[in-house]
Amino acid sequence: MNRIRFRQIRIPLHVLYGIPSLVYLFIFFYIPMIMIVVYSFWKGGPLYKVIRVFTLENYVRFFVDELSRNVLVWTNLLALLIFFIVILIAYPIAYFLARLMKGESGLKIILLILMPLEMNYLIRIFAWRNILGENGLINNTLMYLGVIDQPLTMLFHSIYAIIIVAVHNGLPYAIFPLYITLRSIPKSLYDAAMDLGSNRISVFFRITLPLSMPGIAIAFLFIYVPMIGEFAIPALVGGKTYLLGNLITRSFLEIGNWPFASAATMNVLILSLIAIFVVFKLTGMRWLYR
Amino acid sequence: MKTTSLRLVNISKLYGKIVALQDINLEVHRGELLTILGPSGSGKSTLLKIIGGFEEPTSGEVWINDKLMNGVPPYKRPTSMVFQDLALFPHLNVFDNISYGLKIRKMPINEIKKKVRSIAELLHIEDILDRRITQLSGGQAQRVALARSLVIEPEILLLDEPLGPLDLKLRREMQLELRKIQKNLNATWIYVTHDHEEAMVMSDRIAVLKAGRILEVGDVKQIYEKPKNKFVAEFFGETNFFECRIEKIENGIATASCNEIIIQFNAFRDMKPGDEVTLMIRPEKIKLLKNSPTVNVNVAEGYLREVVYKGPHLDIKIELKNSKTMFVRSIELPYRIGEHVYLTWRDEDVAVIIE
Repeated sequence: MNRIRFRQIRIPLHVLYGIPSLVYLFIFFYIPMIMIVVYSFWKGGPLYKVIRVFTLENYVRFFVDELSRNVLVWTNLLALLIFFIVILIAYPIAYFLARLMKGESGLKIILLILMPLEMNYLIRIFAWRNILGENGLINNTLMYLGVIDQPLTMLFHSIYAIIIVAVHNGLPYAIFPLYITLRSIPKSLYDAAMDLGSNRISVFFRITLPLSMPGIAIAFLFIYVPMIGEFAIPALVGGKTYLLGNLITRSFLEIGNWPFASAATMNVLILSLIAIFVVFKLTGMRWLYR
Repeated sequence: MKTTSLRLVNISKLYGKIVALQDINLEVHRGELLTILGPSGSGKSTLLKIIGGFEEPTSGEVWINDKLMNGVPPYKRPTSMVFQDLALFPHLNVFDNISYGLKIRKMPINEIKKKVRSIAELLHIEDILDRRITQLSGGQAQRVALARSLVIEPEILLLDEPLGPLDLKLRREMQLELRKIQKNLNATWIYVTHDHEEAMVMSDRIAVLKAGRILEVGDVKQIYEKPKNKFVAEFFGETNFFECRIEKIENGIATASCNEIIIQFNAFRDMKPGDEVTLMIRPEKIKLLKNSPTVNVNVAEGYLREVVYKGPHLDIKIELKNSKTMFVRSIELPYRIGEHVYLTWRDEDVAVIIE
């Protein structure tokens, strides 16, 4: 092994290579993370006041305070709902591209599906204004056709708008991993299942679905986990809808209760870790890497 | 009286303009092991898929137990297939793989356990029932795939080169074991392979397929020793052909002159003097002699040119006087290279090639 001699200390070269990124991560990632952990156990007051006394009240508040608890619960339910809607739409698309299209032609369509991700996230959300907004495509069309006299407001600045935008946003993240896992299932497995007596429906539930679980799991991590910390979509199209991400930004920036905001951030982190752990355990990711 | 398990009538399969199978007619009897033998690309896997219901023939009929199977999906056919890549379900363990077909048939769990156990004992895999598929060796995976198909007691078992990836020794063992199991169960098996030795070891009958057509069907000994087709004769190894003209036929024995060599053989009923025929003699049927035999029929002479040591036998090339080469297979060789030798064989070892 290559070593650089530095007086009497021998440092392996690969450790040396790691030092710059470790220093970078330490300053800009680990220190802020540790600060958030520390802050979350301090007492907070209004207007950026912090009392450096150990307390669990920031965490307890999520169980006691109804508003905070509701935000936590609803954010989770909404994230799950969005994930299920995405899977319901994405699965047939991925199945069609992977199994029914000839050869590699599905891959070209996958590239088209992935292309919008090149565009800035915020611009993509704003673009929905032109479709869902009061003077948007849907309202204008409906009014032109005489179906409605007044613009529909439930389309925009509502929880429905969040669902529509978040589902659209999540689709590529589900279609792509599902396509990959469905492609990787050998055709002979379907044939073997049919040969042993399974009809098409039984083949789907006994073979296709279980074997595409890794794809669903990856889609879950790509959709559910960002959604519990999401603040841009509710802020831009959600109207009064208030999710965990908004609670965090508001507590940090407007109310100025940093300890409580830190505890909320820790909640997002813990929920994400639990989700990742459970998903990897349940789907048995190990046979993805056969 | 043999009952027919499978009957194929005028099966053809086209992929666009490419002809994969053409006018296949074949009968398989209950309890026999028929091997479909052919080089790669001959359409043998396609034929098996048509029997299993994974492909529909472009024209022709598939009959199983006197029921027309055209348009019947695989899950309603009384067949089961052991796939080339085995197609074991990676998310299920060995027991769940084997019991898959029984669970689909909604059999009570106690009965499933009993059946799986007995088939696992037959195949000596009763100790690995709770293993994951990824933990199996090649030979174990073969056995699991076979058990999965056997446990549903198919009318016809289809095997698509299942021993392909195994090493030679294990392959030889499995061939004998499979044959034993098939005989014990008295089951109808259709086996696909490109290996002529495997075909001979395992089969009751062999159907030789080339470019989508069946060239010849017959029992093992007949197809090896008395093939009617030149390609079939060559497929089973290097051999000797003679272009001949029949001189006379007496008491069912034909005498033909083949470029200075006179060959006698059992005549077919419709042969007559003056006919042109192709004759074939297998290398191991030929004896080498130092001194000239007393008769002058079924004798050739030439010089020993090449000897290849093959272990159990020697492959010998003899250059005849008319500069034609003959192949001889012998277990010993008391002669030196370059020596003058006589070759001789018996009437009954001569095969008449018709196509």
